[in-house]
Amino acid sequence: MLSKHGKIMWILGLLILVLVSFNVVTIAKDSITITWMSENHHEPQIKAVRGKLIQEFEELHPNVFIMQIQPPLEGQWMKFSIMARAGITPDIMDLGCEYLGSAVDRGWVLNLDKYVAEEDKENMSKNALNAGKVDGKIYGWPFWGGIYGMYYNKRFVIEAGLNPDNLPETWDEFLDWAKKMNNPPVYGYAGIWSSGTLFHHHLARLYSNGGDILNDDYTKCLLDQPEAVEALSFWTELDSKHKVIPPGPTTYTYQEQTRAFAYELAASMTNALWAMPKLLGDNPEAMTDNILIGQNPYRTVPATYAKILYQVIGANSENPDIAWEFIKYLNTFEAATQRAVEAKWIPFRTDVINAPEVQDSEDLKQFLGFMETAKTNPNVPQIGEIQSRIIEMVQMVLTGQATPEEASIEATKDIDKMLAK
Amino acid sequence: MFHNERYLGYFFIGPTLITITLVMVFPLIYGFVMSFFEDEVILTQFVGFGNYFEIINNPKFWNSLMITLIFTLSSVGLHFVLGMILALLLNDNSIVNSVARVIVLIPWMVGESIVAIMWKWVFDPSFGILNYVFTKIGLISQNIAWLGDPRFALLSVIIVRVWRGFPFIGLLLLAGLQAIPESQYEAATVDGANSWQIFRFITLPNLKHVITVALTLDLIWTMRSMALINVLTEGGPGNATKTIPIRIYEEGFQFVKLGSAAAYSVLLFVILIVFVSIVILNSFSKKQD
Repeated sequence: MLSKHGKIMWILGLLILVLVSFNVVTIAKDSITITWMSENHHEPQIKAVRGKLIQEFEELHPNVFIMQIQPPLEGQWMKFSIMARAGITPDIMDLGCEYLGSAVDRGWVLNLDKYVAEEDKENMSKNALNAGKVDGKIYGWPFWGGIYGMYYNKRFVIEAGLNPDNLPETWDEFLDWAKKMNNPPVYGYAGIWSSGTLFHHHLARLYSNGGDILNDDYTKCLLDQPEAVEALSFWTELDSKHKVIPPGPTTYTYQEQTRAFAYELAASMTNALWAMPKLLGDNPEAMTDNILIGQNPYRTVPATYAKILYQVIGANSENPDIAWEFIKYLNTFEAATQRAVEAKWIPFRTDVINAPEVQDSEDLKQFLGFMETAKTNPNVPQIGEIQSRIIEMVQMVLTGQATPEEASIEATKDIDKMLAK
Repeated sequence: MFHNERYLGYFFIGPTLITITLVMVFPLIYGFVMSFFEDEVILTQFVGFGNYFEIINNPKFWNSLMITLIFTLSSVGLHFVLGMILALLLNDNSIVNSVARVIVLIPWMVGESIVAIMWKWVFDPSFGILNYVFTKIGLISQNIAWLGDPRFALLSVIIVRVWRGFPFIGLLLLAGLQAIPESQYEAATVDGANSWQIFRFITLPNLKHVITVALTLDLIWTMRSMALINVLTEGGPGNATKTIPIRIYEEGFQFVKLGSAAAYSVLLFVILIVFVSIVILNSFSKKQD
């Protein structure tokens, strides 16, 4: 049995517990948590700037708490699709352009038309805005992404007797450079020939030859057209005919490619500005002041691919208005400039290029300049399957299992069947 | 209620039965039902056997089936052979063997994805130690893209699977060896049996049940293995290592077609049942003999 003193302590303890719980519940009821899912939260150059922007927004909105959800790299879509099926989508997600069509088709993201004002669209890239629409309605707000250009190792350029002030513009010029810089174990070019990024690279090559995956109303695949077959043929011949790419290309993901360039085993590579911090981090001695940035080479029309990450509001969000406020905040001129300068990811505001900090950064200026000719992929629900099929098509040619013509025709047939469903 | 001990027993196993039903039986049945629908979110768009017809009429399914069978049967076969050698070597109860039994199990203890990442480095065409050693000893004249060349990719994946799996099979067989009475070996020796006859007529028959269990488990684990191949090759290059589990993952999580993925899973389940049945029935028929 408790003494009188013990009983008093128990009652006091219970009272305190009730009071604290009440306060926690009261605070919890007043505060709003916005969940933000992104597979890039953890990357060092991105983590810092996001942390700052979140802090700034929370200071402006004291009852709002932004909770970052970090799925595994390249596992975000799987995690999101599982959450969506369970009816617990995050409030905000950075969704790759290749998944937007699928997410909209399944009703997993909200239509943003009722939140977006006309002034929000000012200074946004029209191409990027349009690409975030499905059936004319806005579902994805262009947040940031990568526009593909070319990286060249300056030292190898000079050693090969090439002019660093006159970088290649066309396919033939690029091939000439790749051959002249090719001196195994240093190879002329490192591409990505595996994983989803192969899809991005292939589209950059396809667009730069005036080709496309689908026709305008997305009912027919165009990969068997001459310009598409030519793009497939030219770039796979870098291995089969010209031997200017490292062995085992189908094992090259983003990690292998950037490592090869950073450790000076490749003289050039296709990539977006986001690769710059990685290169400088991997091998600062070799990479500092030794990188030249050029446009994506073209055959018929200057063009490149833009991987756009859209910010979407999950269909199950309980606070879509606040989620939209946060998205708008992240896309203000100041925030977009900060993201571009610190994280080296390209925002899709067209006025960021005028910011003094951007003007001081040559590489940022150059990549932002590529925005004019950048195009993204079509927003169809089958885009995931189309991406996989294109990867298979390219790898079949690269490994000698099919000619470019055979692979293109087979891929076209399969994609036409997907579109017909 | 608790006066009758029989009811008390049900009370204690009840939570376990409920958990197993929820976690295993329900998803199994739901997956089977899902395979007859196209839209898996709220099970609209009933397509009957449409998913199955589409799969069976797709030549890529048959290619994946062939790759799955080659991968499974090669891996399981090599697991058994190497596992048996290992078990025979470690059968002696010395201190050295006691330590060795722990060390050889290390590949099994490491997670599949980690093993795959490690072997990706070993197989790397430019930096990998395999090409370095083979080039140094003159076995190859130029680097091989072990995971990037369709001629070698499946073999490379099988090597990794075997490396990781045979120690555990060896341990199972070792446990079986340890249970064989010494008197049988002594009697065979007295009768003039040689090593091969002892192995064939004493060791193997005594290990029959252990082998059945080991083969059954290994067939199941290997046939449904996805993580290893996904990390090593993602099913490439082209479709050179695209097994059925990889297709299931692709259909379900990349293409968001759970109905189709469920149909693939049911087909894999049926194939697995056939193989496991062959192993178990074979074991029973020998018993009756």
